Amino acid sequence: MMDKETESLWSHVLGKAVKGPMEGSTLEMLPSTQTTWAAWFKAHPTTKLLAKTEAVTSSHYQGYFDDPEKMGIFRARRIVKQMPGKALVWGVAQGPHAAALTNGAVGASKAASFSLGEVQAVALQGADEGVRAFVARVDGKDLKLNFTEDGALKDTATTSVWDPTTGIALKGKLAGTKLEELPVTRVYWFAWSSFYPNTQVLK
Amino acid sequence: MRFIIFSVIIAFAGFAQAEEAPNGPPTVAVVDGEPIYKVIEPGAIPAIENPTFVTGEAADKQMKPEEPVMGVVIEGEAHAYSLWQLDAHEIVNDQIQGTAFAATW
Repeated sequence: MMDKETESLWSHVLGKAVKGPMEGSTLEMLPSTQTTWAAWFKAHPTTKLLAKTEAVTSSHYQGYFDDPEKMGIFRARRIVKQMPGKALVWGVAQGPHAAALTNGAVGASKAASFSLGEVQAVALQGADEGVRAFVARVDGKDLKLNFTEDGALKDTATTSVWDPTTGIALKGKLAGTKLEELPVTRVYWFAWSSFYPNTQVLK
Repeated sequence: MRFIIFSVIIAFAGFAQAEEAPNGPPTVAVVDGEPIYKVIEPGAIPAIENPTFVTGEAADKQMKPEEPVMGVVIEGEAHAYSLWQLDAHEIVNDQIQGTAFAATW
């Protein structure tokens, strides 16, 4: 990416200026997710959508998405061979620590707990079917979150009920508490493992 | 400072190095010993600088149910972007409640 003001070059994945006057600066990454329009609209009924000024009914890049051999413009070379390069993962990073979660690691009633260095984290699929990650720590104590048999997301310490879409406790002792959200990147494995060759993998 | 950001389609090398020297693209920078190539001119894929939005009800008429979106929620306000639409733009310079951000694809 390039900014118009200084024409510095920025890494899309890292949010960091790699060349030009802004070199070394890092943009704050905001949490976002990816899902289908139907699931997003159902869970966020007041959402707005970037207006389409012309009809767009498919992707220009479907051929690229569908071809397992095509990895980047010049083809990624040093691929960590833990899974196919075109496998889509949810990537989370904190400093040098990184995790890649497959769709199998996190799902409708499945929380994925992992650590990024000293940070205890949990990845959750929200009501909009998008995956988000949160710091599983409240008042200096690590929390373990799991979906219980009734479908509710609870922490084992206080059995408070949590909203997997917002990271806010809805009921129980911790009601009203909001977990810090960690930005998640939806990314091909070849790209994630190129930026973070030592990433852990949750399958 | 608010930046307007747009794509230049560089292959950020990192470890994703070229398999073989591509015929032509000039190297515009070297980062951590890896080349970054310029493939097209900056702005050739036009970023959206002044985005306009429609309500979910209006959007529902333009969207397929399975159409992939990127979604962001800031202070309770939700914006979604069709990834099929972003194929042609890659970056939306947007803001919600005074927070300026770039949605990048």
